[in-house]
Amino acid sequence: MNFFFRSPAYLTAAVAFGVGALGTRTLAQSPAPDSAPYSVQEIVMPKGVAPEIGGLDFTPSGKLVVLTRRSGVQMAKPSKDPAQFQWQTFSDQSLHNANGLLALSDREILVSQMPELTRLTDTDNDGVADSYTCVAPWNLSGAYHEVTAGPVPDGKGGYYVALNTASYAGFTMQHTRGTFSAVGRRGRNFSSVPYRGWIMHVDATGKVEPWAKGFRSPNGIGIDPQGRVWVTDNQGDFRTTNPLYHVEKGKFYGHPSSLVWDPDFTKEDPLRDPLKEPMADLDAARTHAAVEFPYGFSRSPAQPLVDTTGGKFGPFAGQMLVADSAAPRILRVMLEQIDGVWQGACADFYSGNGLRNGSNRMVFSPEGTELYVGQTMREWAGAMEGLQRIVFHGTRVFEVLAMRLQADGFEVEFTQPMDTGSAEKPEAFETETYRYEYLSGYGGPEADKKALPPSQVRWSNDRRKVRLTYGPITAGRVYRITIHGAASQNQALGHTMVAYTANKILP
Amino acid sequence: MRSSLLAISLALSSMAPLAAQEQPATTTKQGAGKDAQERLKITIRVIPSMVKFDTTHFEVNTGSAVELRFENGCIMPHNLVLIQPSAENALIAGVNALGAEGMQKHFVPDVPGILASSRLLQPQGFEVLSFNAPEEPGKYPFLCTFPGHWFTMRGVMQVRPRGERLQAAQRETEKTATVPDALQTAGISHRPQGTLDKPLLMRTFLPDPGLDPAVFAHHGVGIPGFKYDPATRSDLSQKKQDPSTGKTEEIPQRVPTQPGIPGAIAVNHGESFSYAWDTTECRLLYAWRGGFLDMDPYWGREPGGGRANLYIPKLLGNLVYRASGAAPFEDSAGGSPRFGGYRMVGNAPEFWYTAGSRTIREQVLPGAHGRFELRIQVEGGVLESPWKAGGLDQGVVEVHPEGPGKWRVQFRDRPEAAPAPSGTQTPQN
Ligand SMILES: [Cu+2]
Repeated sequence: MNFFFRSPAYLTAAVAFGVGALGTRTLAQSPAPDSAPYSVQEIVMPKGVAPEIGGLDFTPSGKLVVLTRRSGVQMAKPSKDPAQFQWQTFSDQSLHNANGLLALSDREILVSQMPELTRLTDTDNDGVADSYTCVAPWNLSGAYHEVTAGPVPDGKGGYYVALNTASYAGFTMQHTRGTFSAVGRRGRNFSSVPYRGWIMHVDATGKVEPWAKGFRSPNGIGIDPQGRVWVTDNQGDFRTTNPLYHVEKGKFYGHPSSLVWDPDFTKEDPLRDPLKEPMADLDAARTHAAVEFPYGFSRSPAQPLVDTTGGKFGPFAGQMLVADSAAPRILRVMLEQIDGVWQGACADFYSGNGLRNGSNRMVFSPEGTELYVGQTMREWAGAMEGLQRIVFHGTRVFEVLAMRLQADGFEVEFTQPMDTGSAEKPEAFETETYRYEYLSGYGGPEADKKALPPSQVRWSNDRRKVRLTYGPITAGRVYRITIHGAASQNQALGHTMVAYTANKILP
Repeated sequence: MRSSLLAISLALSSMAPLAAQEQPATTTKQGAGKDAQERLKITIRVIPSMVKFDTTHFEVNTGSAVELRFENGCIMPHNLVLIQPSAENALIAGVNALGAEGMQKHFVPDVPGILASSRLLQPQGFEVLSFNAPEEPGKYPFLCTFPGHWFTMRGVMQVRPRGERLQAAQRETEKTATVPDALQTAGISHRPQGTLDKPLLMRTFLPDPGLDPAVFAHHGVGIPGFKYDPATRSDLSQKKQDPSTGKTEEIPQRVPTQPGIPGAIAVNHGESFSYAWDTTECRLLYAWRGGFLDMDPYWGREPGGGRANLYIPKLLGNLVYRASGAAPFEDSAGGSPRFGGYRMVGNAPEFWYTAGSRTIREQVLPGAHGRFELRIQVEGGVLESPWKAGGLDQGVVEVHPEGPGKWRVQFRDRPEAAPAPSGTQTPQN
């Protein structure tokens, strides 16, 4: 059976914008289906396994390890034919809503499940785990929402793990795992037991430390090659849109419920209620997101993963991909540090074209030419589950490569030189700017939105970079550009929208 | 049972397309007009290729005359069997026992507890079942007993007291039902089971079947919260007017707590033995026989595999042991037990934990003749068994010393008359 999906819809869409209202001169086309740089393959999982993917990793020997939310752990050496993986069951036990995985070796893997971080070991080398050790216990009030993301390695033998809060759509149990706080029980999403809404650190000796606070529903945690921790969170109360945070020890990231377990916060009053703090105080105390994903871009971000393939997966080495569990889409993040603060742009990396909705976890193949994507979504978006891989074919990629802040605008870099006469005029760069207010309610609008046409468009000599002049850029706003009529060797730009979160501006 | 309900099964199976039979001639329809008018009519169809009924819940009043039309628009044969609330295990056992006779018997065994049943309908067939609803209010399951279909092809007839208002039937549309449930696609049962030799271990939320509160010494005590409006940053309340005084009162909207246990491990050795071992208290909490868990309240059955909203599975079968009193290896210094993990010994887990300076290993094993066994090994100095015959929970009958710090503790079943409490409650808004 052929599991390739290369939809002709891609081509149709590109032609449609080519003849759009802006009257561009070039009728650019997407690459012909056979030369599309990336395509999706469906990996067939063994019968009797519910393919709700909670974790993906490769062992050092090159075995793909697949953690399912209810059907245990499966392993297979990948084969070229996506339907012919020779699966072996490493554990057939039903781990509780398992949602994070780290493969230490063929015989030892770490799994996040709701009540604990567990080490599964195959001690007698028969291919099946026979020892399950609790590395770190997590508290639970008994709500379905108290899931865990991670672990990611800290590079020193320890791990970071993200603990979700409870949702008021669920229940609290009469017997809670961990001290119950009635103050912490208040709220839309709440933290009635320690340390819900925190990023936890487990060191090499097993010592557990609450590490950073202020999270709501952090279903994605990643670490970059420099050891920086990145966490995605989900739109909701105190989350106007979906954010990506650069997380540092001790900092507060804006969702207040977790503060009930912060000794500094409760020092003078053990019953101090974070929900009664003035918004202005919470706002002043919080660290802002590096990227605020426009809600239309990301419906529910999951794992962030840095492209460590060194170019084997295309031109985006060092950039970050973010799975979206509520849309058939993987995002790409282009970061830069301004005045010591991380910020940057996001765009679609892959959308539709055979990719299933519900992407939760990702891992690059050891060769670096494939990205495995595992899906699970059993909530409001319906059931979307399975295992796929996105294959890079080594063909020409035409996308936005970077978007960089300037004093009076942005520089946008492309992976290929822009055709002469293509995207020359300011109208080709349709720009909007808006900001996200810090609101206690569930989600929020793109506030104070206005159209902002560039006053000047200047191309570099090699036609890979364009400088867009807008006048002074304002800190605390998002700048979203839709590029019309961009073509390189008559090939249309793969994804035309890019949005930059400006936390800081250049002096 | 069947005769007391006046079940008249009117077999009108036909191979003609359904559209051609808008008005099937049934004896009820041909009968006195008035009587037929008062019958409660319900039509249940099969969603083609989904192994699902299109109706998962319908309601009737006690004693009312019901005319249930069952249509098979699928490419597979199906039947519909309506049963007493607790008759499912016996029914499935009966179906399995039919063996080669199954097809001939329409997969309807001769077992007690069947209220009404259709024949095995071939594709495009239909049948009308006429019966009087039971006099006992309750939830009466219906399912297709074609082997394997009952995992997904099921629903409930809710019988409400005479005169009580009925809710509309719940229907699954083909559109929503076309999103397959992963468990269904993978063939995983919502009532999973292990075997005697290869027990099934599941980490999941579990119900508290009314255990002695002293057992939960190391848990927090959850108390009901309030609905909360994040936009106004306030607990939600409803305005209620007292008709006698005319005064308006603000009634906070409480969210109740559930009798659940968040961090336990459930182990099933097949139909004969299951137990719950808790990783917070680090002890055996309860044991039961005659089934394992019904995961429906946690995993849900809605189209698209959405969750149910209670999250606590139900125990199937009967409790035979409940822990009570303080933990046997409580650290005298007051330290909490800390769960270390478990290793598989044979195919069964051996749990280990620490309490103060001691490391304790425990294995629970099913036994014969209404007994089961706890094997305990304590490292770090205990001279005497803390278990005493007749002590702790009155279930212990024998304590066999097996060496220093090592015992085999035999428990005798203390079966409880009532089935295991379900552990879930209807949420009160
Ligand atoms: Cu059937």
